[in-house]
Amino acid sequence: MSLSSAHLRERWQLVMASMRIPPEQPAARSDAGVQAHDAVLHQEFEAFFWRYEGIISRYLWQMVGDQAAATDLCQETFFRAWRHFARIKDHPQVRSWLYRVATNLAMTHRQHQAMHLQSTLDDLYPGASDPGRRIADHDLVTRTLQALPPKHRSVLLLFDVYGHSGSEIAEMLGMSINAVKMALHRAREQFRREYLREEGLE
Amino acid sequence: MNPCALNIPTETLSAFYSHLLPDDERAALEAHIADCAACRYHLAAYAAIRHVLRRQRSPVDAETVWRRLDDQIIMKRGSFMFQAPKIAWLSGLALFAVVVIAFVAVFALQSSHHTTPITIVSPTPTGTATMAPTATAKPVPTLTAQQFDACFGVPSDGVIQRNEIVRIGDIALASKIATVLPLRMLPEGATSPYRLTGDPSNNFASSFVGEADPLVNPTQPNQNPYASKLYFQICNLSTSTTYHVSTVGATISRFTSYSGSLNVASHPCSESYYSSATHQDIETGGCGWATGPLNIIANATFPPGSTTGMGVTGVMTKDTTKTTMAPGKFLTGMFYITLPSTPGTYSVSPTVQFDGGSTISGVPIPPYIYAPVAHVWDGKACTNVSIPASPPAYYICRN
Repeated sequence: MSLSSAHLRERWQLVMASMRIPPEQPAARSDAGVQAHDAVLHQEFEAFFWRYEGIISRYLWQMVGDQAAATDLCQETFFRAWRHFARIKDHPQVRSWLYRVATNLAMTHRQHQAMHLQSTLDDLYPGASDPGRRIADHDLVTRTLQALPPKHRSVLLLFDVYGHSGSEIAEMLGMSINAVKMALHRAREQFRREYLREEGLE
Repeated sequence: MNPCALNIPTETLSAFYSHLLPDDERAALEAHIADCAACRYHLAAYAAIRHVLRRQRSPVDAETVWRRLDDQIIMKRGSFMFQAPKIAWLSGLALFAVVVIAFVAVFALQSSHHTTPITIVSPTPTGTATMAPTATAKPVPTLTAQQFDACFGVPSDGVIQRNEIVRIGDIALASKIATVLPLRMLPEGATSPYRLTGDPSNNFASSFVGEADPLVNPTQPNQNPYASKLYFQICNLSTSTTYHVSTVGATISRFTSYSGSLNVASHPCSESYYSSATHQDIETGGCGWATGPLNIIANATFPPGSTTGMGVTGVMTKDTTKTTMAPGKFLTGMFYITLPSTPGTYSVSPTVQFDGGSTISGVPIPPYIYAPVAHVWDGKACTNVSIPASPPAYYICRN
């Protein structure tokens, strides 16, 4: 296989560009190593992001029930991952780490949102802060899910959708195994009742 | 339906469904459930909840998140670099090495052994306007959510991930291991049932993405479920240009030699046993993903001694008139590959060549291990009796 020198040069420029190394301004020698290391880490992080983005964004969306908020929280989760990337990237439990960060962010977000929304709605429309009406434009599953207490919702999702065991969830969320068991039961029963009622089956 | 004769509380049923009951209680309850329609009905409701939750899809656009995140990282980069320790060995020479490695990696991604070494896809002679001249092959394609859905949402139904796609200009190419029954490496010398460590709720996903165990391919006969199969999907993102696929090829993008024998097992989705509950959770009938109708089927055999960088052109066995891709359309293809007989770890990527000579290469699939000696493990020879009741887990057995 032969390549023209023009072809090689072009490819070289593409590689440099993709590594974010300025083509015409070679860095000072002492910074070069750091810069290359940084660029390689950045590429690894990009692959890491695309590998885990799907599960984390879905989990966050299921947790907060809102596309814009889930987008923000997903960005924040991965930004935190980037800040600790050198340490977490090869960690065997990196997925648990991501879920834990995402869960914390989702819970905090909901507290802020609930406080903010509550006061706004109460001011404007007394009685309008009924959770059923607030999220009336969401689909049935999302609506049912959002009606659960955040901790129950998180436990149900981590167990049923994301496949963590009871003990893993207990460790991740700092709960006892009994609390996980109870949360799962309450979440399932509440989901079952609300879902069936909404469907007009019960 | 009669109510439950024992009046089992839903709390107990939920704990049962969550594998959180002590063994003795669990066994007793199992016996009861076999006869109690009310309890089975209640458990089915829990399964239905799991089902609807798993079916939900996120409306978050990953591309948007990545763009914003990348900007955020670049803004912070100055301080990040300032804090980063100076690494002595990464001197100018090491920088050169890093760049060369990246160069080789990108090059391997784009090149093909037997086809013209042109890597930027150009349109058929009738169209020129839509190709971005600066496009680079990158395993993180810039596809909008709509483009992604149109290209890869159907028929693979969400199975294709963005990091499996390469895009150059008008063309996006996804590559994926398509072996419906991938094989799994097991420890030597074990005689008791082997506990699977993958994620059962996600169809033992680790065996699909090569996370925990490399895939193993002991015999590789063509066109059977155990063959090395490579699924690819090509999408024409142009609104005006039609592309014609002329040939497809496969390239060994990574080879590491390996010696020793292996134990292998068929995919746990079809042939695994659950330690203490056989009537729930196991997805029978195989949990391989459906590819939908195939437009292109190709076979290729690597000659003995093939190693990294070696490419072969496939022989297309399907009607070649079906290889035309109108604007906005996609083609699906399956590549049956016979690897060289040298034991080792192989990672392979597909290459698609269009009329006019332009070529695009896909993302290398996770590695397969090939070894001439293999002890086959198979769930068929396994009985529930031989599986430990605790802890709850999925097992396969040696035959």
